[in-house]
Amino acid sequence: MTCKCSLVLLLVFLANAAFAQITVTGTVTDDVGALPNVSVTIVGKSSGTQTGPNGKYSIAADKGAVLKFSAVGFKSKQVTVGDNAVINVQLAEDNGQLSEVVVTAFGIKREAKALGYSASTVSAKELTEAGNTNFASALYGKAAGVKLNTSPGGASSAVNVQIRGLNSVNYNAQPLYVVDGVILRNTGQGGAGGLNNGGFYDDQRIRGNGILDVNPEDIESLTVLKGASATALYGSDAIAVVIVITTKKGVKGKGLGIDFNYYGTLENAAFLPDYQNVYGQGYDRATNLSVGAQEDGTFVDAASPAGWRPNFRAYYQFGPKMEGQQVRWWDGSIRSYSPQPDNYKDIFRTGYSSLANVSISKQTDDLNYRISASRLDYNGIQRESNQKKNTFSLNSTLKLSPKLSVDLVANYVNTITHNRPYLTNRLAASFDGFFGRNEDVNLILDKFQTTQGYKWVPFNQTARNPEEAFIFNVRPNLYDYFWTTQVNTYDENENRLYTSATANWEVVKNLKLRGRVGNDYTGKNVEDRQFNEYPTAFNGGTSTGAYTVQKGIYSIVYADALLTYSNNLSKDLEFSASAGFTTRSERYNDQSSGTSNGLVLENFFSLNNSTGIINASSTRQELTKYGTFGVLNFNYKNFLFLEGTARQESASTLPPENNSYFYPSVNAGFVFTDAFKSSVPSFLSFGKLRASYGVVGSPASLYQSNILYALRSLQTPTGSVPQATLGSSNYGNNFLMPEKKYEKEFGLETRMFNDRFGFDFTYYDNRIKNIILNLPVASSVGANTQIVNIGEIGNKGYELAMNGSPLVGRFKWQTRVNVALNTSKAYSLGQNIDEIRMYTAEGNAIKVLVSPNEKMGNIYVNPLKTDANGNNVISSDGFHIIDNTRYVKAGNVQAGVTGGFSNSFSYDNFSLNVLVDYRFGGQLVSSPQKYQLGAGMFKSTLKYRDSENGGLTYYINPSGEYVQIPVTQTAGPGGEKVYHDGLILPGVLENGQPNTKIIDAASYYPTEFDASGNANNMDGAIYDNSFVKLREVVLGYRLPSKVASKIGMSNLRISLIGRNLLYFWKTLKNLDPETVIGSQWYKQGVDEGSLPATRSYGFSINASF
Amino acid sequence: MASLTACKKTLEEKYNNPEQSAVQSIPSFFTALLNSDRIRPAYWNIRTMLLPHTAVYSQTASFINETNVFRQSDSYTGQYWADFYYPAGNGSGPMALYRQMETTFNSLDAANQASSQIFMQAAKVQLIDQASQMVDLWGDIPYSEAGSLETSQTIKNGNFDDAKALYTSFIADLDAANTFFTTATTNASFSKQDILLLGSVDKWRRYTNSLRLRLLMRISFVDEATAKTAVGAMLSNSTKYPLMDGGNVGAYNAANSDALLVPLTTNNDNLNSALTEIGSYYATDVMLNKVMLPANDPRIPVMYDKYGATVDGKFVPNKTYRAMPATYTSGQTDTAYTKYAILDSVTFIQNKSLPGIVFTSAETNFLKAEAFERWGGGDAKSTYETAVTQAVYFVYYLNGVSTGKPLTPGDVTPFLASSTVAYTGTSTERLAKIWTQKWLNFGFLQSKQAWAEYRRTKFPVLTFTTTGKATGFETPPTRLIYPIAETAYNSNYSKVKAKDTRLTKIFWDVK
Repeated sequence: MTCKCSLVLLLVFLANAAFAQITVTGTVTDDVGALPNVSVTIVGKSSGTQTGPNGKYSIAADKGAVLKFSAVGFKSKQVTVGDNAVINVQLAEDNGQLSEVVVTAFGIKREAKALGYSASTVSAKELTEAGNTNFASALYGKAAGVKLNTSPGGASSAVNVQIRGLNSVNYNAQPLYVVDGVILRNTGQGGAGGLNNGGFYDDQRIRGNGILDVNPEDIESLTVLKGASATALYGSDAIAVVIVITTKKGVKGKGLGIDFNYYGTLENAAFLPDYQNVYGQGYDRATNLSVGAQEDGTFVDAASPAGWRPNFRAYYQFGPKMEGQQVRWWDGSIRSYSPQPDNYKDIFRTGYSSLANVSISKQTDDLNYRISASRLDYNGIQRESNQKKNTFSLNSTLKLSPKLSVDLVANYVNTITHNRPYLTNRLAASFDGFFGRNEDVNLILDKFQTTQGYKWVPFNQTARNPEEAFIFNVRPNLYDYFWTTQVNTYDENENRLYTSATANWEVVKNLKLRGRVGNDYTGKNVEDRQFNEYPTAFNGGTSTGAYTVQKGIYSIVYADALLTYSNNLSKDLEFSASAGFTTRSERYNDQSSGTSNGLVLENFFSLNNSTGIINASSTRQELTKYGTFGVLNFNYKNFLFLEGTARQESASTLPPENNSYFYPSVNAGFVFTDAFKSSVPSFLSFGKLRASYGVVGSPASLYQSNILYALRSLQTPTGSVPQATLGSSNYGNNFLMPEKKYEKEFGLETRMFNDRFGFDFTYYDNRIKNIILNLPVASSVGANTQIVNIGEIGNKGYELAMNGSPLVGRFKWQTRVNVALNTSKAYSLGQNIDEIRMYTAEGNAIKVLVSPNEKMGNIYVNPLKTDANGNNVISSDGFHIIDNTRYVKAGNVQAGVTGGFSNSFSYDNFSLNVLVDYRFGGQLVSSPQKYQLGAGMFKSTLKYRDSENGGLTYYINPSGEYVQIPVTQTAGPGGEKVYHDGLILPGVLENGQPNTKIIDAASYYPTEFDASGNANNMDGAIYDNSFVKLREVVLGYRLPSKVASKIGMSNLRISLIGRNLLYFWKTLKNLDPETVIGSQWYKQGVDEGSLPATRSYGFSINASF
Repeated sequence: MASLTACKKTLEEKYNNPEQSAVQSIPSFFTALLNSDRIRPAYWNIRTMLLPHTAVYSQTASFINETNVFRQSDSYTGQYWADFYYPAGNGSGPMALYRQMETTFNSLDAANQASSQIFMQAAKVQLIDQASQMVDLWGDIPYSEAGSLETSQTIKNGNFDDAKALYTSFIADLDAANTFFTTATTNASFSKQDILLLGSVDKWRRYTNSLRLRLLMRISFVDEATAKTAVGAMLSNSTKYPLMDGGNVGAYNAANSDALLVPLTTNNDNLNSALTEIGSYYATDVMLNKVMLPANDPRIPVMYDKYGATVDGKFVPNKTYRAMPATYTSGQTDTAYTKYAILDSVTFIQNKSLPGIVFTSAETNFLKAEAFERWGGGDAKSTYETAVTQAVYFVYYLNGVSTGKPLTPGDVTPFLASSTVAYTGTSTERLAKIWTQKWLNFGFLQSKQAWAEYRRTKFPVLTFTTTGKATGFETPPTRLIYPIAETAYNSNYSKVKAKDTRLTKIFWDVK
């Protein structure tokens, strides 16, 4: 049921006056050439126009009227209309990136100068020039305080955005995205969980999020509204900041304006681990013997020319040196036992992406429109995975009368994703996924499927295919990975339509009414085909293969109305007041049906072909939110601005007693350079102080606090019997209240030295009180968690954006630096709660915590045992001892400082943009790194293994002790065998004596970095994660206008682009710093094995006709 | 104003998840409590709880002799733990559901309370059955104060009740339940909702008493006086304490007599994956080589398959039933496994009709035989022979539910007379035979019981390879460590922390 709430409208008759006017024409240019899309308005009037593709405009104006020319990224200019009907204007670039007009909450356009809070705007050019497939990943380093993480997996993978720290402990707090006034569906809205947070047992596909559907080519401007005051009007969803996107509109020109943009890039797996390529598969001597192999890890094999064969089952790499020995392989062939340095890289292929966009735009007096069509083709580095996306958009404005206009925006997106990228988690976090440094992945690619099209046949299932069955036992996961990703198919087809219609009505002078309805509708269909793994003749009671179809329908319907009255109270005091109402209902329907226990008929994909009862499920989720709000604005002499807002909000996701709540905000901007014109130093051209304070309330997610029972009918031999059990392992709470965020913010903006330098500094401090928390409880309390209001968290930080133009003239250099420093802290967590474990690993030896009076996301770990003097204590058998009795702080999953450094160079028609971004501080928890260290995969694990790598020489005496001897000695005193892989761990024994016990390297690494809590997790699984990355490089050439026009174009630009090119510096040696995938904040500091990162490069063409 | 009221109403309507219900129904909660994948042989319980833990520690299933084979998985055992306290995914959460039933019961009027009483008592018996198994695994557990969310919707950490005191209270509560069932009558709702014993008050009574007998015998070495008195009272008065004993007939019908949770008709799963994934389907050394083969046990052909190798495209079966030595290394297992027997596919590996075994008549008679042997009061020999015969018929029953064509074991007399089975020798030897045959009857499906009785009686004699095992994990544990899911958040853990080691013994483990 939709909530039918209406506003009483004021009906007022219109009056229209006519004036004597002349038509002013002219061309607007910058220092390179014509400038399209420049807004030309008459000061004090609402009418205006825009320049066409050639920079030309035409407007009717009274003599003496003041024309204002403004465009995003340029400083506006005002010219008074005189006798001359031609006014040509050259605009200067605004180095401060302070756009003149900022689209704020509810699409209210305000002068940047008047804002009392922080807002960063990113231009269309910046979003598209480097060929990003989505706008979010184009934001890297471009707005202060915006921390991004693009998941590995490319165009189809989610982008996580975190701004100003953490606003929730449990809930996925991504920003709110508002496109042309309508809230866009992203992830986490239909539920609390977010995506890809469950690690090993979770969804193994890298999911996308809703923002991937917004075509960067269609974006006119993007504004990040930070701070509670900025977001108070959007209500609860905006607790984690709002990103307001305005799409491109029609531009006025002669005839149609046509733009064509294309880019194509190739991408490769990059920043791969630094593997060792000396030793192949095998364990330490004792384990080798215990598995039945020889001491060196080999099995005697008469059929091998070398007389032995490797242990293909071993997940450690302490076997014999790989020297090209001829041995029998797991498939029975004779192969060289040689290093395969690129075998990890060979799992993947070269991917590409290609995006073409055509847009047509036109503006007349009554109508302006822009139609755009895009096609994206993306092939990821995972074999057999691709995505095709078609996007169509229409943005039009219809002037029904001088007082009434209607904006219609419609976007249609069709996305077809084939074999959405699969995590490599099973290869990185499971020993069953480890393959030898001697393994040739091309052989596995050849053999994971039999010639009959079935899955590879393990050594103990030879009956299934005696000819092709493996003859030796292997670790299965890589073979299974290829089967899953290359044979099985998973096809998603998603159709999304998001629209808005807005009516603007100037009711009478000073009184405006705006009404808007919008929707965001998605229909989704997924088909999952899993092929039969072996002939059905070999079936037991069940079969293999599966067929599942899923359907989803997600819909958001949105409406708002805004009545604004503005007037001058006196000559010096402008005033405006707005009142509004907003409502939204969301609905998420999901259905899934699938076969169970395999397919009866081989590879016939139909629900009718299920061995067992068909699994079917359907869920419905609905919510409604609405709010009334008011805004008051005062402007004193154009240098002091004051704004107050208030909002009463209601949400269906809270218990009826607590589902309506109120919150206010206030902000002020003071342009001191205008107020004290005479006394400020002359180099300072602009200076403003900002202050704001605001409150935002936020409810729980859908169905989190209700206490209900799950019903199910059991099919028993005596009939159908109903059962009722607890509805959720998260116990509800019918007294839950909204949490509230209180934020204060101060800022200083300046421009100086003829605007060649400027900075914008912000300090913020917020507290979120009564946070809604799924509090973990002991199992015996009767649930996994209970949802409660408990505790208080907060964020404090600084944001600094600086810009400068060190060089002006023919060779230009513009530079921007932004720095953000944030600290998120928990202040209290309720009585008796010392810690909330957000994530634990390695048998709880590692935990990521939220604890009172500590930074959120501190990592604690069991350290090595030390004595009073800090020496490591060594066990009697020569290894480190882990102190399981205590934890030490080993870092924090949150980055301390983030930011970017961008430089634009131009010389005539050449331009070069270089974007560097960086992150300092913060640690990453990675169990897979530890497992691979223990397994002897990395180059660093060569240490101690032989004399060249510092190994000690020893023999084993009759009592089993290792006795060191000179490296030159070839036998022990009793003729014992000599080994060269000894080491002595520095430290003291329990009795205080220095440790002198020799241990061997093949025992050291697996013990030191064992997959358990009883290992050196501090050094093995926790890593500093700081980096400085060359994110984007764009080398562009713009054809001179004269040349372009000869080939029928008004503008042609060709660029070479590169993304993720290299790290100038990074602390992680065997992992990409951006490997993480989960959408939860703490999962942003946990690696569980995703796809490798990629490097991409290509070209782009931008043409206008 | 009207529209705002409508809005408010919409908010309230949308607060509740439309896929769930607010109705509290004791009969429906009761069914949910019984419907447990921790009782049925479901994949997850067998694969993650029994096969890597209790079946290893009791050698009722094969395992690969790997470094960490005696090391407990905190997450797997933690899931089992959680499944007892709330429906965490695989078990029914009997504690939470029982507390919820109590809360609902307390809100009823007297008439409705009276008609609900039978559900409450039956649920209590099932709760005690599961709780006593928790005690056998861990020792002290939160019980009397557990489930505060279901009781009061608030978080209150329960104390860890003393294991011995819990056993005492269970034994008393079961006595009270027996008294209740003596006069109780079933009703239509109970008959429908009782998916375990189909509303039979008589069976509930027998199950209650047999369970009480199990608990009493479990404590019989640590508190022999109590056990002897109470067991004597039970066994001497079968009118007051009827037992689940199959009418004391060897050739009995398990389906009619035992407490078995049959699979839902929609079930199509079997134990194929659970048994094959971690090498649990090979025949076990002690059970096959040392106990069954010497006695020419009639269960061998229905419990095992000779297996064999494919040679030149043709399957060549092994000549005899034989199990690999328990000392085999993983490399030896990998190369030699085709020469040895594996579990039977009809009875175990591909049997989608395997029931959840709650209580068998054979176990009752083994318990009785032990009591008679130790304390007199009955004919230990005939009771033992009834138990062994019932155990044989039970395996044939399991085989039969799979095919729908029940086999019969034929004449078991020679088997009962074989030297390793015959009820002869010293009292110690006779007890050893009772315990060994009971252990065989439990198998991996009831390996929690097999492990508990092995720890109590130290029979059969099992040897475990300690070489190549991780330091500190050279031998099987004598109890499980508390899972982090409890210890991290229950503030009372500190009171039992000192006892929380893998080699602490459960209070009844005194031999």
